[in-house]
Amino acid sequence: MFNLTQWQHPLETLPTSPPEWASLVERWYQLDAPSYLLCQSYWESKSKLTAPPDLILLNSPQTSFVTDRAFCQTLSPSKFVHTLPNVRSSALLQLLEWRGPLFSFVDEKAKILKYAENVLNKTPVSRIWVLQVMEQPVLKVDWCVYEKKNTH
Amino acid sequence: MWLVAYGAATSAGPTSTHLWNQLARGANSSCPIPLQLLKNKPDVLPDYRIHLRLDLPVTLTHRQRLLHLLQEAWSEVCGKISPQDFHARMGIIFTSTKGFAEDFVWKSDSFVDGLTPLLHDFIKEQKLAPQETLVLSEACSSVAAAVTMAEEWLNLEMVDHVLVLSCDSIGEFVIRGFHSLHALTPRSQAQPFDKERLGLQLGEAAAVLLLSKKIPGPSMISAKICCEGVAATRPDRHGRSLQTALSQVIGDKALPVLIIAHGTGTVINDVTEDSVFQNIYSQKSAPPPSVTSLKWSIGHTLAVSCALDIIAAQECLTHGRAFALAQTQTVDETFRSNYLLKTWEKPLSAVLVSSLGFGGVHGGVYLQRSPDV
Repeated sequence: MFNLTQWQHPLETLPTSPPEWASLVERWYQLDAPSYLLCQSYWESKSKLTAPPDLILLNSPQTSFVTDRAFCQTLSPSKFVHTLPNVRSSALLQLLEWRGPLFSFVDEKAKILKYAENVLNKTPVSRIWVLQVMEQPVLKVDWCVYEKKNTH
Repeated sequence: MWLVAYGAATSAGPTSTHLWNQLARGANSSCPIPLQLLKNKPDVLPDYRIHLRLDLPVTLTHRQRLLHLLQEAWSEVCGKISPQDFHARMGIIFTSTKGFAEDFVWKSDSFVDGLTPLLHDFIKEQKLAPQETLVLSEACSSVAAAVTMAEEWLNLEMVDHVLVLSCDSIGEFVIRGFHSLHALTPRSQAQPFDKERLGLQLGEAAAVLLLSKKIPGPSMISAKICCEGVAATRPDRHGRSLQTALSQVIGDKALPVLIIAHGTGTVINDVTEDSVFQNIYSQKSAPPPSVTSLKWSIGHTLAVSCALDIIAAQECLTHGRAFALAQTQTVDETFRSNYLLKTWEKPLSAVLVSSLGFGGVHGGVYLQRSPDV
């Protein structure tokens, strides 16, 4: 048995001034929009997060398409490094100072949630974060935080 | 779980036998970049070499190449075991990085889903009926992640058998991307672990691994991944996540005498791997491992690379033979493992595979010869 808490963070425009967490990640100003959003949404959600996760499941159904296009237009290495969906988690992990298993999917959210619930029900894993990033038509991240009921 | 069967289509040819023979011969299959691959940007590139299947027409789209290579790898698996034997309660984990996007990424401003339709077309063409499917994108450690996930699926009894499919083609996007990072060697050969290594060459490939707890195979296989947030393109300088992944997958099992390293031939990655190998073996008071890798022969095949490392590891177990780093001339004198400059033959009971990926995803795979098969 587990608790599931869900919320959503959209991002309309990338700010140009340094965020509060700027000094905690490498070159915040080179992050692509999904990487920035993951960090910012974590920063704003810290009060809801009681403990670090045992497992992170990141889903990017639209892959890294927007950043891919930005690389095609600029051929900039700072764009190219973000053209894989799993890379957007890198700055968030710096912010969290977390190491562990993170699976990066390009699939339907329902499948990822089903897997998370299977893991919680049948293994010792207690806390799972499922993060889904969408880039079009609006950039947003969906948070689904699972916690086993007996972990407190 | 068992590694039951596998297939590999690489620049060496359409089967894993072609791959093994090329590695054993110390040959490489690189060629100059065909001009047709560089048609979207006018900027001239240095004379890099890549690894392509030269018997496939360059007029094929990337999607057609990927499906063709996957079909070849799948055919090899079907030649070893009938799909009827693993059809029931079978799951598929599919991985790729950028090859699928090459056909549209330069032109389209709105999102095009190129990845899941590729998997669905393969499933339809092969008349498969998987109970579960998932698409994973975990950079060059994609298959380490997929094997880890497959083990979880089997432990959770979600399915009885798992097919890990991986494919990547090489086009202008990744060539210009790795060029922008100064990661491609301008030399005619990639030289992993050499003191004068300058970078990697890219290669196209596809691979299929069949994993099961119900059908015995030649090896038991397990995998672990560990992710870190250090930087997008380089691992932690002490390789802490790689060390965690390798240590977890070794567990209380015997330390293998042979490691198939990621071995890109880039300055930083090779340093990280050597440091981690040294730490793990010295902590257990074991002699330094023998280390080889295969990217010098078929290029860095991105999402497929760890699958090919697993297949090469299995071939080493089968043949009791390790292939050399045939293009490496002088090993970096700061390295402490035993980098194989010549092939050697001895019975092997286990092989460790090491995997590094962009975004800080690192993995380890342990293959142990099955005594019963």
